Amino acid sequence: MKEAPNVSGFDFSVIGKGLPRKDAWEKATGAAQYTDDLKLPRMLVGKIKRSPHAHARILSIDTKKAKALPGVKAVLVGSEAPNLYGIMPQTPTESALSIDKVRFVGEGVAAVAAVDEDTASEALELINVEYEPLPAYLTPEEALEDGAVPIHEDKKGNNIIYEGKQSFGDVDQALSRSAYVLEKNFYTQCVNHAFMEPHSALARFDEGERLTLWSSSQIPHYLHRTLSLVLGIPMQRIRVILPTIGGGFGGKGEVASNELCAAFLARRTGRPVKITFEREEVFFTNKGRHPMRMHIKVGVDENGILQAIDFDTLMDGGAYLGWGVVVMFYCAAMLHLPYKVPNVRFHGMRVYTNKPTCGAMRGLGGVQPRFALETMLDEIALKLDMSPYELKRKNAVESGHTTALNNYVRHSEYKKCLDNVVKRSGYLEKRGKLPFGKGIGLAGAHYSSGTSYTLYLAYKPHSSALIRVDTESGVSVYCGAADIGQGSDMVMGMIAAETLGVPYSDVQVYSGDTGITPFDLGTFSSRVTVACGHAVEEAALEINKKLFGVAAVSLGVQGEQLTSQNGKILSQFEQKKSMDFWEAVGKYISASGPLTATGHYTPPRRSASGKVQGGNIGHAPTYGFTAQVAEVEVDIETGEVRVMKVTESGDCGQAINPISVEGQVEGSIVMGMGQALFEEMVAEGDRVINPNLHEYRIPTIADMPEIDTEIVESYDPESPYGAKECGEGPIQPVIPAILNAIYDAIGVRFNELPVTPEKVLAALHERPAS
Amino acid sequence: MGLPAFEYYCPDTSAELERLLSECGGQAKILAGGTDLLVQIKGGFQSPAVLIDIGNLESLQGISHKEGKGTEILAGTKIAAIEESPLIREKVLALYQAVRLLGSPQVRAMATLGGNICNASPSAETLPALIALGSELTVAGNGSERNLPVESFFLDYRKVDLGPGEYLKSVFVPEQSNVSGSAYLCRMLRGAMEIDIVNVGVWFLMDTEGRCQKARIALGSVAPKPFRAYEAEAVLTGKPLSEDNFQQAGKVASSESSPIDDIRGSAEYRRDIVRVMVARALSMASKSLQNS
Ligand SMILES: Cc1cc2nc3c(=O)[nH]c(=O)nc-3n(C[C@H](O)[C@H](O)[C@H](O)COP(=O)(O)OP(=O)(O)OC[C@H]3O[C@@H](n4cnc5c(N)ncnc54)[C@H](O)[C@@H]3O)c2cc1C
Repeated sequence: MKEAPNVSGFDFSVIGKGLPRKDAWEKATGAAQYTDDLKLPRMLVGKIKRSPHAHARILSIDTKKAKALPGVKAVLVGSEAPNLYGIMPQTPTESALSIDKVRFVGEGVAAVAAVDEDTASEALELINVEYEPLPAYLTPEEALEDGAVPIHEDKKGNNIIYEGKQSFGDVDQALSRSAYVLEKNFYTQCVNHAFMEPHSALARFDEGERLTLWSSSQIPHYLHRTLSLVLGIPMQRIRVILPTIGGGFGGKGEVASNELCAAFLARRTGRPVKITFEREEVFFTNKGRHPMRMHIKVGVDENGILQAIDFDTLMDGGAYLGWGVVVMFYCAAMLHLPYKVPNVRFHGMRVYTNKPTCGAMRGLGGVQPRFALETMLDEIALKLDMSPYELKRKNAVESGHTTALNNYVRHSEYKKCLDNVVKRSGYLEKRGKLPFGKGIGLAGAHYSSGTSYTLYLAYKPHSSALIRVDTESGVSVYCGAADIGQGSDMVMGMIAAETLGVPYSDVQVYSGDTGITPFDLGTFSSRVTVACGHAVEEAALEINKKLFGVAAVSLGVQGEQLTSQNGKILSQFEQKKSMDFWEAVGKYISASGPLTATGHYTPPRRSASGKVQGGNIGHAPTYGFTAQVAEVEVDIETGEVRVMKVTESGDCGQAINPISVEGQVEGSIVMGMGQALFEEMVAEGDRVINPNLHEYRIPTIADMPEIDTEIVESYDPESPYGAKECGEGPIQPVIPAILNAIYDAIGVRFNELPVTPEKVLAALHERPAS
Repeated sequence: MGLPAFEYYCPDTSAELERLLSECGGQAKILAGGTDLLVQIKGGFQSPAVLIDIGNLESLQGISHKEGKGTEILAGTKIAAIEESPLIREKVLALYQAVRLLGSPQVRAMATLGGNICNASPSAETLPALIALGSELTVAGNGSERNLPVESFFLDYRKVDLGPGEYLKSVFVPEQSNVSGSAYLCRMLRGAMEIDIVNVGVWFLMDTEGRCQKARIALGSVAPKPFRAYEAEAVLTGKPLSEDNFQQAGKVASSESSPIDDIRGSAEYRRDIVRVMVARALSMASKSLQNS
């Protein structure tokens, strides 16, 4: 059994023990029920007709023939679902189906519900849409040209969605005084999450216009709100339920059109309607990582101490807003960590283009700048004749650091991560000394462990939990957190078990159901362990307090002196003064009725220093850290790069379940490697030509490097059981670690992703013969 | 499932298969593992009126070996069965090297050798290996059988030499002598589940003086159909095996190929890789010779 290091001094019985995932068996055997596995009586199948044009006005939609096809029960067009929505409620841009204009190839224009899939597909063919094509803009540069037709006809009259500016300190002066300034351009490609389970939603309307929606979503609450807004029915009549979910990585962090269309069609037909996307539709829906052009200057003094970062970016947003502005300001905030940077300037423009919309993807806002900055720091260190490790260590943040943006880092073991990973990998012994074609590279990073602010102004707690303890049903934890495969149910169950002093097997977690679980914002920003964990711990402490009242009288001990451990409530001072946990529960219920308690959590609020620059985006209660060393072999005749080994050291605070942490880290490494070497949504003309998992190459098991991860000793005293994030930090250093290793192997720095064999070979050919 | 309607037959004997094929004329398609055909039908690239499933035909499945003659693989044999066969590993190593790179375990469990050959993708995994090994095909139908060298089976881009009523019955790989070497290599953009950028099968036979008496170099993915690089073969013939000669053969093979630009790589890159892979495959084959 894997155990996490324990520096807290507490003697945990559940926390930190590597417990096999409860859902692993079900998933491996196929027993798990995903949304598409659900079947309801009289259920219809829904399908969406999609635009062949990247940019066109819709002149007319003729649905007569489709409606007449036997087996077709309803057809829906955009004008029948006109309420706009968006994950940023202040600026809604999307609709269930496009209303009078299509903005990318693959955008939905009509939806049908029919008795089976074949009939629904046939009906789509019978819908006739008349388009008037408009010029399509496939790059931000094209969309910004003078005279370009606005993709969205809003007040601005251009295709700039948002221009963000932040300036802290005096960047120009700091750069001019720097001993060394490196200036470079970078480009990152368009990548998709490639989660295994495509979007799927099943809607049912009951008597009295009550909607139940089962869906593969990360954000039951935002989905709930949006259904209410778009369908025009009160939230109190809607229930959102999450069945087992096959991954999200941010891609299910926005409402998708299948969810809305299924609901509309169910309302119209009076029958349950399910819409599951084909893989192609997942790529059209996208909401993947933004392609970014970056122009960056970094200045250091003669000792390698960072003086300033000047960062300019052009972001390809695709056709709609999505999480775009949040991603932009997350990116801006990412510049301030994991190193101390006194002067930082950010300028970014997110631009509309006629392509699938970009959004949130694991490590959002961080992966692109981290790739650039970590490779630049590598280059700077070598220019200064310094080990990149030394340079990074000198600048690394420590607990109690406040950034220029006023992010407060209450806890950091980043230096420990760097030390640990360098030692374990033999980085110092190998770097610069391996034969040509073999290389080693180091990179480090941080990530927000939650977000301090909601997307709309809501002052209610971000997470809440309810615990019910009963001698018959055991311990039931109800929380709104969305377990999308990352294992939050297990984390919540372990926190409850530890606090109540019962075995994990006594706890059942009910989550992701707006009808029975209390409010939670959802799964994004790596917020769940800290935020929902706090709520669960608080609720469990409250249960203890109630039980201690019973036990105090029975045992003749003061309540404050009691503790729950190993299924007993006992005196901290006299162990023999103890009673069975369940006996206390029975007594409590007999005397006072049901034993329940709630807990909730709101992150500490912080605003940016001075003038608020960027809506407080990027502030987090605490931060996770990680450092990685990649070792590569480059085939100098074919250009193939093979990642042989990745060593990782992570500061995720106290690991609640180290096996789950290991899974998150390994998954992050493979995903980052995919973006570094293989993945790209390729557009030819106005369409994506690889909307499938054959031509869109995620790494296979045959590409896996050896992965060696270690959790460093760490405990954030203000977090529930000392825990921090581990699901998004570990993807941050992967790309730069690999690219730094490629540089070490062949002396070439790549500034554009992905680094394909063809690019490597071309670069090798260009290299002056030595 | 999103498939258009078709008639479906699943014969139990070869005689019944032949009868169905001749009755349906050009309307029928044989369904083996379906890993190409069903994908193509679902994608709307073809819509045969009749599918004849050969999955029940035991007479089309199996691997056998005649000492001194060679190895026969029946067309309906699963790729996984070839991969797992000790006989193939011992007698037809280059084919083993090819089949283990075909798709994934799931695909190999369904796919057949006959399907890989008859689908005639320019990048099909087994073809360069079979061509290099000098394999022969047996085509049956309409009450008779005929044999032909595997490379002449491919007429054009995805066109094979199968007349109405005919089907592929078996593949015969002649016995390899202990002075012959062979190898299969391919270059993919990731470690599995790929359409190869280029694949190469090589074979040579040594004479008593340690020179190459005869060579075959077959290339896939770099022309409309798999082909033999005759000029590159000529570079080797009559010469001793050496890295220099392998490099030279690679260069010539590269100029014989006619790749296109596509999502996997530019024509220029492919040509470069042909050179490298041919040289490497030759070197690998010569090592197999030294080891035996
Ligand atoms: C995910 C995936 C990955 C793949 N990866 C690879 C790969 O790496 N390398 C590779 O080479 N291929 C690959 N393929 C393609 C395919 O699996 C192979 O070509 C396979 O060998 C086809 O065999 P099958 O039995 O499935 O053929 P089928 O699909 O059943 O048939 C293919 C064609 O051959 C015809 N046919 C089949 N048997 C006969 C016969 N005995 N006589 C006459 N005609 C016949 C059929 O009518 C059809 O036209 C992949 C396919 C998939 C779906």
